[in-house]
Amino acid sequence: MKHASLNPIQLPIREFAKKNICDGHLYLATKEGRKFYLMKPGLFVDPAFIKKHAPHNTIFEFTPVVNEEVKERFNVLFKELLYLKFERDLRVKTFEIVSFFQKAYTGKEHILSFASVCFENFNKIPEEALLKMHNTDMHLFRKSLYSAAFAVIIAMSNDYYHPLMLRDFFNVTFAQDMGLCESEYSYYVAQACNIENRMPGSGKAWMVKEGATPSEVNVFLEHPRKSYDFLKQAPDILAFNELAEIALYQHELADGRGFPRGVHKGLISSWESIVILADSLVEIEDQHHFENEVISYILNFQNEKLKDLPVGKVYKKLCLNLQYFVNAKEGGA
Amino acid sequence: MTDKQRTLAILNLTGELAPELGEYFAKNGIKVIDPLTSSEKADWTHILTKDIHDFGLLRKTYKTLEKDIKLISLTKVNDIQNFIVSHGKLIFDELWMSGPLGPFILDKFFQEYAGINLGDNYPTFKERGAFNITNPFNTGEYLDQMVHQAFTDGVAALSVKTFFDHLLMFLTGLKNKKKIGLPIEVTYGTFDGIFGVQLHFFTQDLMLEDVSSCLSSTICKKAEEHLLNISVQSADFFDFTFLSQVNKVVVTGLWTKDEKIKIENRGLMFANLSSAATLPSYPTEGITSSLLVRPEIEDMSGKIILPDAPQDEEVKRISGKKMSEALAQKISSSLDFEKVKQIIKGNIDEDTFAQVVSGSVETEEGKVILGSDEEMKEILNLVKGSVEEQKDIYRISGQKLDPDNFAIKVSSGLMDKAKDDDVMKLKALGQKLPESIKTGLFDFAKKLNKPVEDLSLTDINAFQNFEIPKLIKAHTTIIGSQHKALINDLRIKLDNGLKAEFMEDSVDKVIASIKTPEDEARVMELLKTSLKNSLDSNFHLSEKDSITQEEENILVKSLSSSFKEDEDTIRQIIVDKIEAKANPLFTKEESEAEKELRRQLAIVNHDNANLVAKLRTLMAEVKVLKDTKSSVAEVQAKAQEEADAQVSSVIVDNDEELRQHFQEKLAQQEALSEKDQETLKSLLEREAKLINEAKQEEIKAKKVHIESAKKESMFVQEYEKVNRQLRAKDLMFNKIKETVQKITDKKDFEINDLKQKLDQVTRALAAGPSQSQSNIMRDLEKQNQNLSKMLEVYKVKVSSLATNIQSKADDSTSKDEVRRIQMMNNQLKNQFEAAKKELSKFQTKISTDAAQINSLRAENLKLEFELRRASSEASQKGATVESGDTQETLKKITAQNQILENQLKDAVTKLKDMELRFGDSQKNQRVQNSTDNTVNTKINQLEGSVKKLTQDLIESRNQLNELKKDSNKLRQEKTALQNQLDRMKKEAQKAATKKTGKAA
Repeated sequence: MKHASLNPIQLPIREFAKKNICDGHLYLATKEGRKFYLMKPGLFVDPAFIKKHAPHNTIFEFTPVVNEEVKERFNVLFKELLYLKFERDLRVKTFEIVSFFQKAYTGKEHILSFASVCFENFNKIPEEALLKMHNTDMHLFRKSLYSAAFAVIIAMSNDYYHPLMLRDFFNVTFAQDMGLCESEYSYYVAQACNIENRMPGSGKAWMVKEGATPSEVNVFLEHPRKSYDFLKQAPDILAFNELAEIALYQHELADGRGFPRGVHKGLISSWESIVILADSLVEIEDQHHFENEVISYILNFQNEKLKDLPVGKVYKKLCLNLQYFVNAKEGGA
Repeated sequence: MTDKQRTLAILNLTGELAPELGEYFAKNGIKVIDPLTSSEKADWTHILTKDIHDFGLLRKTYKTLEKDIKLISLTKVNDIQNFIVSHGKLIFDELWMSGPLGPFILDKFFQEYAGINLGDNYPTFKERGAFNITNPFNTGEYLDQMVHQAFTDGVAALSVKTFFDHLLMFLTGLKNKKKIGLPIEVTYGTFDGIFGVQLHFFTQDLMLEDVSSCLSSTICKKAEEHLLNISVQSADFFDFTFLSQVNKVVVTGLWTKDEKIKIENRGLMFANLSSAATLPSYPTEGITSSLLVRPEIEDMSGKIILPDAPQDEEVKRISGKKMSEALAQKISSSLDFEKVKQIIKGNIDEDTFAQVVSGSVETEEGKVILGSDEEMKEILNLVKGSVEEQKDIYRISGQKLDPDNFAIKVSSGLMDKAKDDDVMKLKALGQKLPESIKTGLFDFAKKLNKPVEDLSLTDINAFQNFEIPKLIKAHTTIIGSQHKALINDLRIKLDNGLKAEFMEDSVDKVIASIKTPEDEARVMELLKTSLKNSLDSNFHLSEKDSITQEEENILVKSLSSSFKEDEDTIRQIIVDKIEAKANPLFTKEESEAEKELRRQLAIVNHDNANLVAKLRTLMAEVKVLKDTKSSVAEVQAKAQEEADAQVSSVIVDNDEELRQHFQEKLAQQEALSEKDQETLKSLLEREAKLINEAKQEEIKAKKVHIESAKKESMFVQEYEKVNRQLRAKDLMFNKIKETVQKITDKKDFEINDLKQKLDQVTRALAAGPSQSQSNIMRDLEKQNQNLSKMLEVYKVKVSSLATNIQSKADDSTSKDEVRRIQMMNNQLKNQFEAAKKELSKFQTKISTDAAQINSLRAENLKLEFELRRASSEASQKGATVESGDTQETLKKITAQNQILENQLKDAVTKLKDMELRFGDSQKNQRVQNSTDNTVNTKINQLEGSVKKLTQDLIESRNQLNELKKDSNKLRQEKTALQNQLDRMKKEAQKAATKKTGKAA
């Protein structure tokens, strides 16, 4: 693996305990020199894990993937954004963030630099809910984190500048799969989500074909509603409560074949499209760890998939904005 | 076509439908029943209405709400609230059917489809911009961009602005009622001359009342009640569609450039779409992003054109440079075309033309227009001369006065005297003169209480001197050469202009060719242009700020005679104009000197006026006195004449006879009788008396003459005195005028200079960089605000520092204090550095200790394992095992433990020392309040470091405690092991004893 070639550092447990999100590859070395791979980048740092290792003062081997300078820069930009009030200032600041995003992610930079900053600044989902998701499926958690970060940058590119609104986009996107975190969550459900992501509109059919139980199918089909209920019942998560409704749209399709409502694209607003696009950009079992060339990944996103999704306008705007900076750079800017 | 569409049944209460509308219904298979022509009944889905203003009746009659029958009005609805409450859903003027949107609106309404994109709702809209609203009170720049776009597209941009502002505030109100949610997505675009703005947003539990309550058509103090109504009224077509499937509302405003769509043709649609039908896919052109597209917003102020003010106000509000244009506009607009035609026709009349050429014009009232006073005097002299001749004839002939004959002869005599140049004037005057002279004579005789035939030569003289001038004045009017020039110029310009404009060789043909309103408009425009040019070339009005009284009179008379308008009307126009100029809306600030000069000028003017009035009074008195004198002299002379005629004629005749009688007697040397002597005596006495009387009369006459001369000289003196005063005042006035003029010129120059600068600045502002400048300014303002805030903070800090310094000021001077604090700080810093190093050493040691403890643990475990093994071996073998190794190991462990304990004790002691030192340093630091910002910052930094170190110390202590616990645990384990070992030893000894016993 690529990350294994990097020089690991000795990381005492107390240092690791300070992290919310694992921002690198975590190993445990035995006396004999054998290494156990404990944690991937983007996973939640479970308090139980810390509790387990703290009494032993475990010292891990840690290969960070996050560029601290980039992270710090994003952090400063986000802090500045939160400080601003006027629309024009907010717009200029988001312009700056998108510009820096483009600059940072044209090269080899892990999306986690941005995602962890988004998490630190925007996350309002209670820890137990995060743990529940993490315990249900660590990959689902990681996927949700990355999707939420993408939602922020897509929203910024689509003329949403208000920090509270951006925060809501992050939290809605993060929590929109909370409805999956049930006891019936299984391989079939996880796989259906993957299939749905890769080929929109085919998840349910795959489940039926593969012999998933009705309750499993139900978990899959009802999870948008359950996520919506989750967001509605936790009023502190969203600043604009009405945005909870966005969770209902994550599997809607352009032609109205999606679920749960079967709404066609003519009725889907930009704020819903943003979340749908952000969700589509990341797959649960994606081997692509967004370690580099994120911009290239976005700009070359699968067109076949986009055809079925009601996200054309927001995707176009995202690309236009990113491309604008690319062009500006190429043009000597 | 959907099922729903097929079952549509419309009750038509409007009578005959427009062909396009009827065609639309027929084309779409929608059944429309007119109750007057068909008795067919159906389950109505819609009712078409026209000119209905109380929809309550329809609601009750047809139960529109209960049966979901939608009302459609094909005409303007006065009370939209009433319409909506009665289930009114569409206001749609048939005129819309002639435009591109009409059929689409009806499709959308009857087929019930809609989307949240502008292109979904209205076909092929090209998106010009989009933005999202999160804070309804922070939309200024977006709105500016949108309105700018509307201006660019040439639609009613201000209506767009009003629509958006009011709608947004209405939505904000709904948001407060938790009926709608943010964000609000706004899209705007254009399509075939139509500008559209669309907003959509989440909604929940939105009731009809929420909408209808804000549709009040009455403008009241509470804006919330009519917000939506103003928004509706601001759009040419207003569409409010609720999408129940997704709980969203889409509001669209449309503005068309089609001039046929006026206020009364505006449309409205309230649609409640329960389930969205399949939406036709319309391509949406263009995509915008404010992040990408950030155009500088151009100043569009020039596009805001306020409606024309009422006519009376118009002239008053025009700037000085437009004076002639304004007058021309005002006058030409006040004339109707028929009058203009008469003017033009009059212009080409041969006689009139001749008059114009010769410089004489007869006014409407029959007055002969004269060029100047001199001209008037000349004519007056001619008339007087003619009267003189007739008077002489009359005197010579001794005939009684025949007024008819006299008047005719005067008039004809006048014609004979006329020179060539005066022909037209005198011709005009001569036609009226006989009648006037005749009437004048009768009036004069009436005044003298005599029959006209009895008028004497003296009377005729008086008539000639006093009445004739009055008569001439009554029949003439004096205007200057400028007047004539203006009239001539205007007529020439008009004449030439008309010929050139209509490409005809005569004005007759021009008039004949005027047939259409466009031609009339051309003539009127030409009249306006000609008048403006004439005013400019003759009076240079464009270059003036005011006109003189004389110019005003000339203008009034000229324009009045040219346009056959009442002088007062023309004067009103001109005077209004001048007043408006004299009282500008924005007056410049006057200096004290100017004010003083103006005050003096006013006083001088006042004095001048008083003097003029006084002079006039004196002149009048002189005139009266002269008249009185002459009349008295005349009466006296007359009386004398009469007395002489009556008395002296008899006496003179008698005395003459006596004188002759006595002369004869003296010649014959005859003796005088007594009687003769008495007679002679009386004759001599009479003569002496006469001589005396004559002397006395002569003295009296001399006296009167002297008195008169005295009075005259006195009057002359007074007159001269007043004149001198007047001249002095005039001189003063002129000087003040000159000074004021100079100051005014100077000020004007300054004003012009300022104006130029202002223009430059305005141009510069209007130019491109203005936005960036404003941005920079805004940034600078923000920076300034931030700096001000920082300044406030520092002020507070400084004040607190000052307080602290004040409290410490007893001990030493501030400089020493600062120096001392700095030194202490340095010391503290060094101490901290040392402490840090010690801490890091200590941490290293702790980690080493931890490693040792771990190894000890491992060894303990090993020992335990060995012990267990030993015990098991001992129990199995029952043999005595004296484990020398174990004892050695035990000793080793004990020693190691002892070392560890010592190390721990050392560490604890060091830690305590460090804590104490840190505590002291913290105390010192708190005590030493710095006096300047640098020291304060350093102290803050040091405090931060101390806190961090303290935290680290606490952590270290916690770790130490944990180590202590481990150590205690190990001790316990060690004791347990020792006990176990002792026990094992004992057991081994026992076993050995038993063994030896058995062996024994």
